[in-house]
Amino acid sequence: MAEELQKYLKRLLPTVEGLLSIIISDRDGVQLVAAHDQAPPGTLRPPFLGTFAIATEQASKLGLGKNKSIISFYSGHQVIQFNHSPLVLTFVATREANTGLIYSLEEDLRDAVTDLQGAVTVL
Amino acid sequence: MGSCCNKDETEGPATERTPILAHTTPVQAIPTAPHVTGPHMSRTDEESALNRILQKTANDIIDVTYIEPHSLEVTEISGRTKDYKSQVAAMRGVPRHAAKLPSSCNQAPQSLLARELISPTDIRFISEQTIAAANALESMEVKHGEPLVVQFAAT
Repeated sequence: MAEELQKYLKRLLPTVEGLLSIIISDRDGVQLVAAHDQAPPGTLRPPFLGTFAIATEQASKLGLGKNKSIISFYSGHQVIQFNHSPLVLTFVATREANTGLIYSLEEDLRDAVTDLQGAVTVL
Repeated sequence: MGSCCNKDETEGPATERTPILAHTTPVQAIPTAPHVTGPHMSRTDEESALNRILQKTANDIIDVTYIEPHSLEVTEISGRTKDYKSQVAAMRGVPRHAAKLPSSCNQAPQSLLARELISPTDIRFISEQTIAAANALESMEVKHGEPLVVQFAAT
């Protein structure tokens, strides 16, 4: 199952030009399953991935309901993260990548993330 | 204060506590919610109500300056990674994520669809040859010289 999931993530990577990594991690940024291709090393580490949990928690207090996702644009890259508490789904791509197409990949991965939510005990 | 044209001041000079509207019924007090402290609640109930209010306020406050720095130790990260790997590896069953792409398709669907189309001449040729092949198959029949079903003599 783990290998099949990782193979599936690796097959999804080239479907969007500029997509560099797909990571499923816990709230603190510890990876469960990941596939990456020349992604910036810092984006694969827990301190980077773990910031989303804090951001989404604060964003949920803005009076618009529970925060579902956050898109962050940087000078050279973009990061799209989804809240599947207690898991986090992260996409890292180049600045020129198609943001909407990356966003739509979440639907393809929703079943896999749901399976992980039920099977993995997040510490 | 009162109206500047009001001449019916029978109860002495108006003060700051004199009602402006003289002939109105007093406003009924709005009934308090059950959880709001009242005169008959015990001290513990008041404290628990206060704690609830404080907790709710703390949850609703957006404070990005005070964020608990929960930097994980390297050993803890590696331990968690191993645990997650073993749990994911132990997951059984067929993964529900559908392999929606054909196995030979390693490129993005949009890049395949954006390729140059086949020329109409080729499409017409393929269609004609396909129709001819289908007609040829339909016209095939077996011409037998001997009966196909033979009755064996009873013993």
